[in-house]
Amino acid sequence: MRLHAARSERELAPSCGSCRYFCESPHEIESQMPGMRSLGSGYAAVRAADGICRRHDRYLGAASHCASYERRL
Amino acid sequence: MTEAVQVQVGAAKREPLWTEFIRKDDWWAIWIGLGLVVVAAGLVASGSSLKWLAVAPQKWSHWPDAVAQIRAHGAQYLALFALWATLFGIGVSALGFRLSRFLPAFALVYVVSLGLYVLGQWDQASHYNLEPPLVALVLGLLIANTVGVPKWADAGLRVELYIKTGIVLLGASLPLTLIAWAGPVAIVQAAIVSLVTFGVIYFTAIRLGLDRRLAATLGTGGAVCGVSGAIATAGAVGARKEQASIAISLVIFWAIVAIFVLPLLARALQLPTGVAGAWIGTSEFADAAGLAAAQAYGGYAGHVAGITGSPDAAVNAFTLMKVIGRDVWIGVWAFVLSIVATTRWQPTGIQSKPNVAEIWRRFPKFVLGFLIASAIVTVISSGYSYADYKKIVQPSLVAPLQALRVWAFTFTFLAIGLTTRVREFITVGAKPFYAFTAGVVVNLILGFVLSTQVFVGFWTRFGQ
Repeated sequence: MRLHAARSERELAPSCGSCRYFCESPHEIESQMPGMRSLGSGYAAVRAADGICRRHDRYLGAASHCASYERRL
Repeated sequence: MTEAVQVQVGAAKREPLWTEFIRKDDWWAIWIGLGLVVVAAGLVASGSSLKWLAVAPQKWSHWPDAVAQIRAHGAQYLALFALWATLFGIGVSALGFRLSRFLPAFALVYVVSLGLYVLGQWDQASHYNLEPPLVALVLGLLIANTVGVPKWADAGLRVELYIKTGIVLLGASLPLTLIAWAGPVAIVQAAIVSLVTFGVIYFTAIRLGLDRRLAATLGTGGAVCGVSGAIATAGAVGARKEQASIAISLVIFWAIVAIFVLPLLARALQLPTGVAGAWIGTSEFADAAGLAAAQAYGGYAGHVAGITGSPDAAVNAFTLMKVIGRDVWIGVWAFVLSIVATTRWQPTGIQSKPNVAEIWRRFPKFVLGFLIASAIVTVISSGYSYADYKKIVQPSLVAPLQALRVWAFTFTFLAIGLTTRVREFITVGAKPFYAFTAGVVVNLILGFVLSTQVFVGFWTRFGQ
């Protein structure tokens, strides 16, 4: 029960992963970071669920959050 | 908006966990590589072999002989193309690329790779320094930076998918016992170099006044696993996008320089293949780049006077050092740096909570495929006497998988060149360049001393 509640809370948290400014598309990330295709990959496991925040122009994890959060429609 | 409402509208849309297995190229390398190993093992068990399909050019002296060879095996080369196109085609489609774009691009990659493979079998190739990995890279770089490569062709130039598949296949020719014997030494040597190189880059960058997040991203890019290391750390510490791009550009620049310089230096010093492979594994910055250098050096064995050891030893030692010694630790580096970033560094206005699960999430999963492939072939081999292993397992199972691995690596080396567009690199600035270059110099020297002095006996034995 407690585990379920914790999971629900985590899933409902307004994190970057669901923010309209957050881009996690591997294709887009490869396009925006020149050279990444050459000796790396946007589809690599090491990238986990990171993405680009268009608001702050940062590359960060999907579980991050900030005051500028706006839900992706 | 009240907090309660804010929480509700912010509900994250999470993809089911299983999608990871089809959305990451690590997993596709495992499906393709291990699939081939399992099929090859099944065929051997039923008295057959993958030999016919795993065709590879043989040594030749005169050009008409090479042409005759290709004509004689034309059907096999076509069948092999169909196999690779099907396997990689399924993979890149699942990653989101259009098959209609992948197929023509891959057909070109395959045909040029065949030409490079044939060239590498010329008995004068070593004399003229025409090592296929280096020729593939130079050719690709020339095309990409002169006439250019159309954007749609990117679907067929998946460097990481090819290299990871090749590494999984490489596991089939490395006994698990050898990995267990040499792995700890590789880990110790790689740990020394990684920690020192990271420290040099990080503290030089700080001394030059650079941001700590950029310093850490540059540090792991140079010390751990190149572009993958840089991108994992950038995400973990929340670096600015341009900081990740700076690290990527510097890694690629120095990795490509090292592809040519390391084999040349090792050749001038006549290092045994195992020792050179260990040095390249310690001092190169990216898996694909290092394998190009290691395979080129392995090609000198038996062809260049004074270079001893088996041809495969350079690639094997490189893989142990780079993959087992350095790559697998990227999740740990990212996790530790995310703790430091959130507790010690200046806040960015973005909150994140370090999570130990990141170590697994960022783990380069293809390494599991490499180890499983090794375990499968080791278990199969253990059921044969040494004489039967040489007579049955080696030619029917290991050799075809080795041939397929060389194909995958050749696709990789060509694709590196074709995707490296110098004009796309951003201007990195002098300070990041100096900081990273300081790490490069220390890395090269320390890697050389450890491989050729401290552990020289071990790596020499490894190569025999």
